[in-house]
Amino acid sequence: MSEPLSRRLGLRLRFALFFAALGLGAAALIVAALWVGHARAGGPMDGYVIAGVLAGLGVLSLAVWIGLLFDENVAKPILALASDLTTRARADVDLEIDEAQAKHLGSLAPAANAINDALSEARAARQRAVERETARIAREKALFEALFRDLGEGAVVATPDNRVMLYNRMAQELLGDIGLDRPLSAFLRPEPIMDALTRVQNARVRGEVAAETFLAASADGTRFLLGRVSPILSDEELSGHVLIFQDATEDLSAHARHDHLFMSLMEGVRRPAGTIGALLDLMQSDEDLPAETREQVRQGISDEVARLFACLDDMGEQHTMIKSRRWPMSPVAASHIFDGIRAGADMALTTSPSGAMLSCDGFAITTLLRVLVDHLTEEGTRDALTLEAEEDGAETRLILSWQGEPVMDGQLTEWLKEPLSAAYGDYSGRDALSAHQTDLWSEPCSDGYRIVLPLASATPGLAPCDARPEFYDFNLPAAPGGDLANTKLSDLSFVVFDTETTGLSPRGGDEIVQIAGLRIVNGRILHGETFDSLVNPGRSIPAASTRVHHITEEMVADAPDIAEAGRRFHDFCDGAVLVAHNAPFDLAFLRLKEDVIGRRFDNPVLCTVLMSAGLFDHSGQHTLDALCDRFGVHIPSEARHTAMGDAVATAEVFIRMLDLLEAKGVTTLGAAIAEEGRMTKIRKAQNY
Amino acid sequence: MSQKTVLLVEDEDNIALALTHLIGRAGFHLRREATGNGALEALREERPDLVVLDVMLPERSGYEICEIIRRDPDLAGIKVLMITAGGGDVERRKGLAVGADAFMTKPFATADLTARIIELLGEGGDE
Repeated sequence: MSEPLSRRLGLRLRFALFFAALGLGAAALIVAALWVGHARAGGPMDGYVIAGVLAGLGVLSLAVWIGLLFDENVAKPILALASDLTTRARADVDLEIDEAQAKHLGSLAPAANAINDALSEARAARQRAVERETARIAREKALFEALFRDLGEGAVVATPDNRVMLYNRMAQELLGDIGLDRPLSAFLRPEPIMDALTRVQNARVRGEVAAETFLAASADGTRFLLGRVSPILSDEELSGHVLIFQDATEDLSAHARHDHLFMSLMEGVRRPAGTIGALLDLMQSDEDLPAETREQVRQGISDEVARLFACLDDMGEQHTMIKSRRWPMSPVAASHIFDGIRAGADMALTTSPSGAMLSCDGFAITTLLRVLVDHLTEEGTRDALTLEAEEDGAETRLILSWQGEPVMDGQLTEWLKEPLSAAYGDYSGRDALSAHQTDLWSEPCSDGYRIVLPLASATPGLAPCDARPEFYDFNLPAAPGGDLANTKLSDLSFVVFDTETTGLSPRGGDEIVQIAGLRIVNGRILHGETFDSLVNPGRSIPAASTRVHHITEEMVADAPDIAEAGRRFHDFCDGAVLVAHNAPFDLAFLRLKEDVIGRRFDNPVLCTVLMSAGLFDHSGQHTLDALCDRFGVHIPSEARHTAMGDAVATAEVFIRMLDLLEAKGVTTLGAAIAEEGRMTKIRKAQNY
Repeated sequence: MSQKTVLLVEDEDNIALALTHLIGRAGFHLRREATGNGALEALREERPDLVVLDVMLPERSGYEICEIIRRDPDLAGIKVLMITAGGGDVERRKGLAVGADAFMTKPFATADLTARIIELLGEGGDE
């Protein structure tokens, strides 16, 4: 079916044809009319011809003139208006449509402008809505990040196939070198979690979505973690699961020690108690024992009693050693407790600044001291109240001192019987003290009296905030299948690394003195997931090498040897493609040590020198400095020639080159390696 | 009056029986009270040289009695030996903080207790 004529010919041409037809039609009618007139009326032909020519020319001129006017004032404005409207429909143009150009089109231009206004308004409204929504998402993201980062329990979010999508700082503290996209089984013995997940799955089938608990050992078996796992469902689809856990190692071992202590106590008491009973029976049954036997019995009883006492002493001592944690204790700054007490106190309360950290239930201790302050001041017989903390090794004493009337232990006992806070139900101050395995007392001091409350000192908690910006990625690519060569580059994780060595000859006896690496997952450099270790080379470091990398023999004296550092680095590289600047050099050192390390570095390898040679002019410079210049990557000069500084620079250069490769159509690992192979010959001529 | 007097404040009858005899045999004049308030009355009735004071007592704790002794000028100079069945370092420190001269945890050898009393009261029985 052919296109309608109206669409094949432009508007202006159609108007022109219309006026041409009109003019020619009118001329033809005039000729026909004159012809008929001549036939009927007769007369000279010339008059008819002249009239016909004049009328025909006049009509044709009129048609051309009106046609031109029409073209100028109707056809062109319609086209201009149509073009304006099309532009506004397709792109964001907020300009008014010029109504003057279409003044002969009646209300069409104002109508078009009305549509234009409505469109602009709708667009602005949509823009505002998008901005509002974006801001809301940013707020929620910040909230969520803060929440997860500083959660007191370890938190890990895993994909359905158990790779890490998110972890927080506590999880890192408990599980060590956890990293994005790494399999969970590298950090936790997976069986108990699998079992819990099966229970979760069964519960889901029954229509219940609930958390299941698990107790699992860390992969190295040194810790026990007690936690819950719950599924993340979106649209009935399982998109992963959340694990929240805490360290149960100490609780479990404290429990085991308690059990052991109890059993030893029972045994230690039973034996002498039994013997004493028997000896007493003997003494009472026969008054006429020979003097020698009586003496033996008496001696026996006193021996057994001594044994009993020794057992109790020993058990008491052991019991104090076991710090059980039945009440949640956490590191709390003494100054925060003081602030809390002062905020609730009606009267002036002096506090001495303190950097002490306590291991306690901050709320319970704050409330307890506030209760004491209230009672001490209720009769107006005490003033100049002062709070301070006395640090003394494993113990930190909170001291509340005052001037005026002393306080008796009986009063303290009464005050401590009161429920601490509605938040804690019937839990009294005395209960709180027992839970903290402590007590408090009052005693005279230099200018008055004071209440002393000994508490355990706490080691400072997590560092305020180490730079760990990339602790989650909810868009992890699917795990690479069997064939890495056909895996897209963007779906792979990479370890970009660099080594420093004693010299340039791995076969000539030179050794690694430092290895540093960092991960790239899902196209992002994970600055928080790094490997950086000095290595004891087991030989001297030539001064010339030290001048390059500034690593001295003293620095590596206590460093692990290549067997240990290499094993840890191998773990770090698990599942990743290795990337280095001049990779063959660094790998030669590692591969020569594979027997010592006991692992094979058989990961796929990419070399940024070869990649650069493939992407840019072969004959150019492909040094790391040259590449950094090309891509505008800045390495601080003090970081240059440190393994980590160079690894970071290589990583920055590498991710930029990945983009260029993709633009060139090289999207899979196999293609990238083939591209490198093409450059291998050229490499020999390169100056690294 | 050259014989020194000891006030035993202990609510458990069996141990009190044994201690009464043993401390008496060591040459001290001994009285026994079983409650906190009883102990306070006895203290004011006849000032002892030393109080053997159990921590857990009906009515008033041993800590409080010790505090009262230390604050009352009439009772100044009385030695206080606190005893308790509850083990724990904090109890010992609290006892010494409220003014006890010595603190012993049960069980103890009675010989150790009498030795401690003699030590606190100085050589023999003279003032």
